[in-house]
Amino acid sequence: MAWWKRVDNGPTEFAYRLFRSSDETTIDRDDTLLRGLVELFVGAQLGLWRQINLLAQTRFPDRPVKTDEIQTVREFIQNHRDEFVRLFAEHIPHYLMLRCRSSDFEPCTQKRPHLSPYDHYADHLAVWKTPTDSYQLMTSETKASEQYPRDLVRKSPPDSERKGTMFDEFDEIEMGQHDLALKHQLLYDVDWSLLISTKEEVEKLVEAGFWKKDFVYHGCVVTSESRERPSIFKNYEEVAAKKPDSPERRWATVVPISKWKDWVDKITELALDFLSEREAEGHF
Amino acid sequence: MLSKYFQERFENMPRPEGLSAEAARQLVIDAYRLLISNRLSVAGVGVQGEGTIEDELDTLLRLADYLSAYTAISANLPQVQISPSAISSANFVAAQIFEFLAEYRAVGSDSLAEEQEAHDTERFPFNGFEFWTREGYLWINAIAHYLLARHDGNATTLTRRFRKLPKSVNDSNLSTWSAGSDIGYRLASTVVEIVVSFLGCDFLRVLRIVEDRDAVFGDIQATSNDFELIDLALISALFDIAEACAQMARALIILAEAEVRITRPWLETLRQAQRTSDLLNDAALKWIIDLLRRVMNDFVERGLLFIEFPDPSPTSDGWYRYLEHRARTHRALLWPAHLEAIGRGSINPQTSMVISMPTGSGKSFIAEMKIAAALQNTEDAWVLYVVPTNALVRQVTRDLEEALGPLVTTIRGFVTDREYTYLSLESLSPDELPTKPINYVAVMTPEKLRLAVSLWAEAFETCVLCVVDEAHLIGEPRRGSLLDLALAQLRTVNERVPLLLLSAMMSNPDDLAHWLEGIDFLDERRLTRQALMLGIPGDVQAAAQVRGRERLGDLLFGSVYRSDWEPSSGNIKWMILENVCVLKQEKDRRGGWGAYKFKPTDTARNCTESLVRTGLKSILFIPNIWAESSAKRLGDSLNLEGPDDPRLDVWERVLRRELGVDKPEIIERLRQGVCYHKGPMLTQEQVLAERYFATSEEVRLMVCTSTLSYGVNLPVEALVFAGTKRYDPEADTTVEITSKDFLNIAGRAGRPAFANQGLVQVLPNWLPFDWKPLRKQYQDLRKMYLAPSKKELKVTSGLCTVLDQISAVSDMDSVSDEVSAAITAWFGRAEDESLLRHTYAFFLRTQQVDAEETPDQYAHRITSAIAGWIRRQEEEFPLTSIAKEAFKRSGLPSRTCRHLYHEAGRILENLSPFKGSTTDGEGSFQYWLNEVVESVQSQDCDFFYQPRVKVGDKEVRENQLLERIREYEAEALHLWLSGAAREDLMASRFANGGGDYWSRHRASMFINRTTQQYAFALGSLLFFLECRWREQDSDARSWDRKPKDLGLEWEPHLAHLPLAVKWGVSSISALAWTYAGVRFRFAASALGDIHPSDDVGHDIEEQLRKVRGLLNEYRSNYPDQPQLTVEALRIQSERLGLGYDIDFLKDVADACCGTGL
Repeated sequence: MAWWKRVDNGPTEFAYRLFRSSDETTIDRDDTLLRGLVELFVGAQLGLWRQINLLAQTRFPDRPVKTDEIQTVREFIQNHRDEFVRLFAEHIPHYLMLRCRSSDFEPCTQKRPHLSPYDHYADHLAVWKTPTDSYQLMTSETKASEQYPRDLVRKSPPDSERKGTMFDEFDEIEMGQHDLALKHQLLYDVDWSLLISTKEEVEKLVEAGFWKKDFVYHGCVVTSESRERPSIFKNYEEVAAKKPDSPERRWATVVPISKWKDWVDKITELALDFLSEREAEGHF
Repeated sequence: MLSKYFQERFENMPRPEGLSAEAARQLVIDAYRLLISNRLSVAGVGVQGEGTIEDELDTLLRLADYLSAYTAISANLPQVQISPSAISSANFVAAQIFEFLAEYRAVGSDSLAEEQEAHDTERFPFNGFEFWTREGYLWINAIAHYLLARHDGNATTLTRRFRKLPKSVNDSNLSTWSAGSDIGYRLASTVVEIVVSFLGCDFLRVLRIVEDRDAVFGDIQATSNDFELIDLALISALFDIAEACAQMARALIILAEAEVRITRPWLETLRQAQRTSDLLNDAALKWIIDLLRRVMNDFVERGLLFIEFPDPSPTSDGWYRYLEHRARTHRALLWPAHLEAIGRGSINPQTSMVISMPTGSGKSFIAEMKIAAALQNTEDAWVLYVVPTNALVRQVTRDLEEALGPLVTTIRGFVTDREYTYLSLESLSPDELPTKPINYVAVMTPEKLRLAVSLWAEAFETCVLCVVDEAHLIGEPRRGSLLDLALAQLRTVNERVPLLLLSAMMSNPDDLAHWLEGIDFLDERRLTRQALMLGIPGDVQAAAQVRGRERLGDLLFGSVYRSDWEPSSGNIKWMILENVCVLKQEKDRRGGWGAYKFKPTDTARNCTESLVRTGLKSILFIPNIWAESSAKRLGDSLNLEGPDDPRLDVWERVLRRELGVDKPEIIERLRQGVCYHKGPMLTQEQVLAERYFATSEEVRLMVCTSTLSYGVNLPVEALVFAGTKRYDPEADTTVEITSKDFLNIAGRAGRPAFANQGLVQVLPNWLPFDWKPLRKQYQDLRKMYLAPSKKELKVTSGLCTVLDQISAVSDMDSVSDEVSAAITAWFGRAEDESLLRHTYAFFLRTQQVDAEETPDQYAHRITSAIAGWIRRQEEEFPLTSIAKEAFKRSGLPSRTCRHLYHEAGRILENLSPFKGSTTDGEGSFQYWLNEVVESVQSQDCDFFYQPRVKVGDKEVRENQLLERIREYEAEALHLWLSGAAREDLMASRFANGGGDYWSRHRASMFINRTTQQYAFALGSLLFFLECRWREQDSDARSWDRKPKDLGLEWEPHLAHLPLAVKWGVSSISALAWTYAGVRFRFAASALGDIHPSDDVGHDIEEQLRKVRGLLNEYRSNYPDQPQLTVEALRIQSERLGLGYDIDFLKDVADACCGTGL
């Protein structure tokens, strides 16, 4: 079920640039890119729901087939617009990464999209083996809301009065509360056979990842803030990159979305259109 | 020795850079030490410790993550070659850390568990979130990693513990189900229960609960419309996980299904579950599936029904039935040591084997398999099982009964006299033989073996295997010589019989294997952790004054785990218990107050109290007479709730009314959740204490003396030594404990499948506040515990010294009883060297390279010395051939034989019995015996060669006292012979006169000891009477004639009853009862009679009366079939709703009339 293979090689340069820097060009200004991403995401959702539906029907033959996948997804979009867009936004970095495979980065694996926003594991995960043979772990976190402008992405000391000004997920990662989930995902989601073939490599990987924990956690946030303040990133690096565990534990990236509400409308519309098209075509 | 295995594990495991094996080990040890202090302080005990656990938590967690990731990744990368020992070590260490982290989180939550259990007992203890919570993660990981490291017992222990804990859902914002659904939680909790049972190796339970799962699943199917798609997918995944467990469980315990090990259908099921969890993107499910897959792959390699036994392997139906039975009764998986032993040919029925494995590592299972293999081919064969104590005979009998169920007709524990009839079945005429083939296991002590093999040598020709438990005892001076000689006798009778020697402490199994021309197997894996902590009293000045001249101070515990450990060095972390150390100031010679002294017993009591409060099941080891009173004090101060068991009432009646215990202390203690175990108490009281401590959750503490040093398998988590001395009953004083004893007792703490951690606390003996003697004690202890030298654990033969004495001493009358007893084995075959050549002592002699003479010369010299001695004796006291045979068979010291032989002759002259018919009438032995018993009772018969007047090791120097004791003894003997019970003796002058020196306690010991000796002597006398009786008509009554032919069915009872006469059957009246066939007196009254003081309701009274009526009926119907009576009792008690189980009824019958069931 390699649905992600459907990602074509498209305009990766652009996405890559967008991802790496805070260019003037942002994701919401490129309709083609956005449409492509929405179709990819909804397509993947449909594929997953189809599998689940089939599975449920073989196990529960008495259950009448009253739902098809398009209807399931459509109902979800209509009833939970914000949630749906949030879910989608979680996967933007993920898709971007898929699109920006280059010789520098060798993405080992990608976590499949969430089916529901209730999923309590890290939203997205990928492991990269860098040319220097170190491993990088990337996670994306769900913070796609106008209530949280990006300048709050900073670490505050645990006992500070400003506690809580940071995005919860980052805070929790810093406190190590997500380690279990990350460990599960690392161990059981990643197909290590792509990266490892010798005992020494196993040792190196395990030592780096589980003993020293010097994977680079690369948090990605989608926010509604559009102002360009790259310095905040640096600030974040300075503050958050220090203890508790290793010197360069985590960095965060913010993917800015300028007008969140408009964006929600736009994406829902795109998704519903796409579903209607698929329905009209009669296949997924 | 104990720490070696752990050390290896830490050295073998893959380690991250910068972490040494020693550091990792110390980290784990420190963590557990701090866990203990945490538990203590939660239990309200004042405790201070060095270092905090929080500093180390992160490192520990990272190490566990590192190790588990290492094993998980390498297990999923088959192309990467990593050594199995590294993986296994990694799993083992990871399991320990996970266990610690789980326990650490659970500290303090136990009390909640009780509340939860109270109102929610019928449902599973899980809430269905366990796969997703952090607690579940830690517990399940710990359990699974233990399994992967093949430490099944530890996994079982953890499973039990995990079940008991309260399950909180607070720590995670869990909403596993998008549609809130009770039925979903029900399914999830069922699946968690299945997985946990599977990981706890309880496969029968898995199959039982699978039915529950199917029921829940059926409900879900019926209402599947109410579920969202995503829930149905999750349900499918959970269903598949449970299904895979069930598939494997079925294959593991059902022989007919074991074939599927080749196709491994569970892997496909797991794959299906994994596909679903991929869809759901649920990492927790993937995690559990991966763990299960690895565990199942491991199980395939060591399932009892899966493995290929090496040739020649048994193939009979019986063998397979046995395997299936064992697979169902908690032995579905073989442990690494078993696999290794089987690989070395341990189950080959023809080979001898010597196995040295630490306590609790599965020796007895190897023995059991070998027994099964030995018995499976021949229908008419039996196995001999030698254990050192009667308590162990009882235990082994029970264990084997359970284990060998489908294979063996019966297991005979030789704790009473009647069992000997079984051995002499051979002598029955063909039409009297039982219809079913006789295929049994006989369990006995070396003394009984020596006697049995002397008496019925021919019965041992069909013995197909001899198992010797605690075989290192062969090296003990007294009993060792006996064992060596008995085994040699056995091997002369039946040269092909293979031996299986088992021991927990033996450094040279190769020597013994060489002797037996068999295989040796030395395994040093100890499966559970042990922590040894040594106490030092803190500062006297800081101690608080309590009462009078007593102070209560701090006690410092340092962990002993390094061989370079010194109390003054800086690398010790101390744990300080506040206000437990008792110090007392005593008067010095001049009447002034001297220095404060440390009181080990009182302090140990305080330590034990604190341990029991933390919930650890504990044993307090006390080397002196304060066991009972300590139990009382602890019982009062702990104030636990004991077992609420109506059977205790019955026991109270049995003890009070049938065994003559005025005030059954043991029952009172048991009701307080405490018990004690000591030498001077009735056997039944001992059994009661052992059984309740072993089986009841509520009995948390046992106070014992050295009587428990050998064998009995008790579940203990903590053990406290009040000083490093033990009571030696032979010398009647305390002696410094030896390395072997210490290891043996300490080895009890932390039994696999009961506790993963054994805590041993040792308090010093009397201690001046000075580093010098203190350091000496530490050094001794460290040596004893950490590095007992190979030399110390080397097993030689106790017979060596006996043989040396034989060759050295010319005047045989001056030698010890042991030597004299050994010589009687040569009566009738004085020139025969084969007996000597079969002994281990002789083998050791042949191994001496620098010996002056060759083995042949040596054998010749010894046998001719013995032959010469026997010849001289015969010149002096001519013996008939019948008498020689009797000497040989009796196993008594030769001069005692001689004395009894003459005494029997003297009695005989007075009675002048008739000759003629041998089986009935006035010529029969029966008729004649009745006369003799009467005459023995009526006169002061001098059948002792040397009445023993010895009080402890202290020779009675003052003549006056000696005379008084002799006088009392004569009086007591008289009372005893006329049928007085032990209690009457205790009431006589014997016990109460004598002043300080002759305390009541000593009197009691003395009575017990001498009663046993009297009984023994009387029985032996009867045996020699038989000898004389046979001599009257040496042709018709020769030893070739079987007892049955001569009308001597009673013979095994009376000749050897004395061996069985221990504290329980304390007077000759018991002997007379057995003799008269009054078997059911006690059983009837124990169940059916009501004592005026019993406070019971009218209904119960009525019921008991009915039972009693029925009993009387049964008693007259089946006078000689106790088995039937017990069965009838069971049926009746069920019908009346009393619901006593069969074991209990057997115990009652056994206690009361020695049915030996």
